[in-house]
Amino acid sequence: MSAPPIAPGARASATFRILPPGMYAGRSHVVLERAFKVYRRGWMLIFSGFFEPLFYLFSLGTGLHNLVGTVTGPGGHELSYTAFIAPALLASSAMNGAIYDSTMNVFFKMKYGKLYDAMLATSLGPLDVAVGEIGWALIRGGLYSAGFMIVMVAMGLTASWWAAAMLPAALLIAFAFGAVGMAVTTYMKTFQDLDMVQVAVLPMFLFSGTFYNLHVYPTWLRIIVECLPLNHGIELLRALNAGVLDWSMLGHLAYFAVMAAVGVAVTAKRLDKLLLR
Amino acid sequence: MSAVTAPPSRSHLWQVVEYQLYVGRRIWRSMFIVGVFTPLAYVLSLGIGLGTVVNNHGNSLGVPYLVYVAPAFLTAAALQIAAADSAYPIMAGFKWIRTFHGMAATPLTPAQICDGQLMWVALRIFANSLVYLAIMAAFGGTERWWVVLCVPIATLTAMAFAAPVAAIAATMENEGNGFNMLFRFVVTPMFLFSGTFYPVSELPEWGRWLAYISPLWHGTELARGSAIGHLAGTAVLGHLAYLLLWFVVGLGLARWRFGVRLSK
Repeated sequence: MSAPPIAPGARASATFRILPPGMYAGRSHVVLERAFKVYRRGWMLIFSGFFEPLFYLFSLGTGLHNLVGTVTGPGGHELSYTAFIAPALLASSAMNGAIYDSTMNVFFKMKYGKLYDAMLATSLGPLDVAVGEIGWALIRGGLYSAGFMIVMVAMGLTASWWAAAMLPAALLIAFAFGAVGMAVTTYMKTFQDLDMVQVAVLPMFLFSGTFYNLHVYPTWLRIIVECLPLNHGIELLRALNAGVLDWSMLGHLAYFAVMAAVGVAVTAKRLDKLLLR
Repeated sequence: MSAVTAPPSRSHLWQVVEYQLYVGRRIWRSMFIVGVFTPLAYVLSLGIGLGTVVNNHGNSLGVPYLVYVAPAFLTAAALQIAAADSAYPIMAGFKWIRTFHGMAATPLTPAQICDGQLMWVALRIFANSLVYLAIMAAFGGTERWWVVLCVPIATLTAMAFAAPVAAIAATMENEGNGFNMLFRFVVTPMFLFSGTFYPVSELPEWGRWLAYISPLWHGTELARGSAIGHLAGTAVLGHLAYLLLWFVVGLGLARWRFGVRLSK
């Protein structure tokens, strides 16, 4: 006789064993598998998302460089305008992709598709769903980021080997935004609430120093912008791309780690409350 | 007994508009975000923020950067809103909530439903553009009175693109992934490569040709012309003719597709 089958949860680590029972079955990979199956038919939709930051890079990099001139980057180096905006566009697209996936898509699956009700009726717990969904968003975001970085290398926009670290950093940014986005989505009641996502994301994209240094702002505005998450992402990727490292980067990393942890915790709790009670 | 038929009348078109106004009351918040909040964000961040950088670098455009880009932003916003309003709502009217089939059961003809729907979009764009103009003016983005012509120009540009989009929306049978492609591969590049942020002469040859084809570039040139006054009369006529051509062909196609879809 073989050994008795081990319950899926038994292999989970200590962190998950102390969670309330039923939160986690250690099977978030099946949520991923579903995403792969669904998107096999919609690969063009996925592929097309890769182009948006490229269009911005080509258009603004090419067209504005005469009007803007060189820009002072990290460590006081003079950068071409294209090299200045490229890492910032990478950070912005990590944010945009993660937010789109975790708000719009999750909202539809939750309210109209009733997908999570179905998933939670199986052995999956809310944490499996949260981790699986966010994991899928990360895989997708990772592909976009890698593609964009290949273009950056091809165009000669990277200044050091540290630029390779932009990929994990972009994933962390996407993870943090995705987790918070999904947490916020669990509070949404109607389709119109999704508009509020745009209210948060658009100004962050436009004001966080993607297109120019924050020096142009009055001090009060600059302090506000420096508190926003996307600004931390842009600063982090810009420094990595230039190969100018300092301790403040740990601060940026910590910021995103906290965002991600809070986002996942709130999402799991909310899904549990919304769908299992 | 003979069937009761109302005489066809142009005023039927307004009943479609009235319906949209009635429904529109429910989405005032999203209209506010699109109409006021988004323009403010663009004018402040790219018009004034990026403008500071451009102006400090010895601006070669002849006018402050905000005066240069604001009319282009206004026109681009009009086109984007009109495209979105002619894509999903028309798809919904045929497929998801089937309002057009309901309207077609009244004395309204398919062409009137089509015209009414587009008239509603045009009115919305006109109102949005007025608000945009006020925001531009409030931040010093206007230099002469002719700039008010931006509003009708933006409306024409938007409808020149919205009419063919309506024709596509009335034709499409599936769930609208085609629109995602349209927005990602047509609308967004059009915004970025139609001389919105800089003169198209800054682009390499292929980029310039993209701009010449795009209705948005023609609209942007006209709107910028009204704001700065750099256009010759013949250029104005050429741009207007190109936009009207798009609109007339698009409207014809849209009426035809509405007719086909509603006679099924």
